[in-house]
Amino acid sequence: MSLSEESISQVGAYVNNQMNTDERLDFERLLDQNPELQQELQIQRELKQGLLWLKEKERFQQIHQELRAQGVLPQTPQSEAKQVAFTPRPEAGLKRWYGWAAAASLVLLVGLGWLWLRPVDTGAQLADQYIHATKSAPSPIDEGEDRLGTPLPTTQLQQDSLQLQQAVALLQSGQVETALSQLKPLTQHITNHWNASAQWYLALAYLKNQQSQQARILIDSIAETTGHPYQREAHQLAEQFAHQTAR
Amino acid sequence: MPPINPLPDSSKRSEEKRIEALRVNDADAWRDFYLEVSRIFIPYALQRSSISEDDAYDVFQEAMIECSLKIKDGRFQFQGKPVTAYAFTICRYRWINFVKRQKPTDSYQEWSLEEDNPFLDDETESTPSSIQDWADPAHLWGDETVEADLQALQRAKDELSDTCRTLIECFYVEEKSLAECGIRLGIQEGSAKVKRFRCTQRFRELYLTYRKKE
Repeated sequence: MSLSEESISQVGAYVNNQMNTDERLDFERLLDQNPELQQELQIQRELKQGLLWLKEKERFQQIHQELRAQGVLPQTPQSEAKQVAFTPRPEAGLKRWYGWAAAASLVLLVGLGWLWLRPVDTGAQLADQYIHATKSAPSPIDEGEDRLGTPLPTTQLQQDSLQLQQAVALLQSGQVETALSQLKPLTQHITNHWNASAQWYLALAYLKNQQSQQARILIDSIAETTGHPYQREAHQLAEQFAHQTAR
Repeated sequence: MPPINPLPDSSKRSEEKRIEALRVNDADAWRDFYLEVSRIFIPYALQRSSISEDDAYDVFQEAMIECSLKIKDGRFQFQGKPVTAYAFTICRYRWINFVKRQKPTDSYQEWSLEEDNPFLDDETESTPSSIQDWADPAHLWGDETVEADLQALQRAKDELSDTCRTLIECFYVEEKSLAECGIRLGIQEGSAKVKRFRCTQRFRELYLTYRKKE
């Protein structure tokens, strides 16, 4: 390499925007005539951009770790717990445990009875089963009679999609009141997949917020709407609700 | 959450303040911004593709880095829409490229990804701050090529002495003058200039060596 130390330093100053106007213009004239200088400029630009990138990466990794430790980052639903095979205990030595087992069973029975009979937040528990489930995606072009709604200007469709995403994220993170305020406007006119889906999430939000009556009205309506993206889930939830209430 | 339509004047002022806080590296502003955008993008990506959560966060972080660099060097200019929309657009662009690399022949996947773009509208496409302009990785140095260069850079940086590393970051990342970098190291400006030259040469040689091998 035949570039002088001064030339290489000038490249550094140029890359860092540390030249005044005259200096910059002079340097750019030199650059036009010197391929080696152009190459050095390219390399120093790569170094600078790469260093900036690495610095930012380090910073965001730190932010990510802090937020993850606080438990506030969005996550996929946890997978079901593994089924552990039951292996019966060996018969020898069991007899001396019978007394303790009987006492433990009695305590368990009393406890279960208390759990069964005490008022429980059934709605919120049911809602949690569905809030984190994989959301329904719109079908490809569907000309069937049951297709919900009529074609809308693309902007409205996209706005509804994004607003629903935001509301669901709020619901998943436990901000139910805010989610409700976002979902209600979306469900005023059911014209596309996204505001139909918003109806479903509004029902779940009502359940979470202990507004069971409003939730049931919506769930029943969805269960009876042919072509609704969550018709099947609404049927399922309505049955679960009926089962819970009958206990 | 900020609305996705152009903001009213009162919201514009608070959005401008927010962008300024991001530009000057306010830690709280960046933490809130990171969380807010992740809550929009991560569920969006996980619902629409078979991407894993880890990959979704990798894509998200790369997009946030790109967004951060563009906010700080002025390539992002506030045009009335929330900065979260800008960040989401970059996330989405990178996510589409990631999914296409994973499944290049899945035409339905491609159709549904391209169609379902909540920020794509006529106004956005035709202005200089269009999505293509925002999220074009060529505004940095390209997409795939970045990975190889970054690895070479990291290796080169790790092999530098502490003094060289400090000096190079002070000069190239923080854009301090040689006098200021010299003060940080406890040396005169003239010595800082010589040292910076030598450290840059060392860094450059290491980087080019590792880059050639890959």
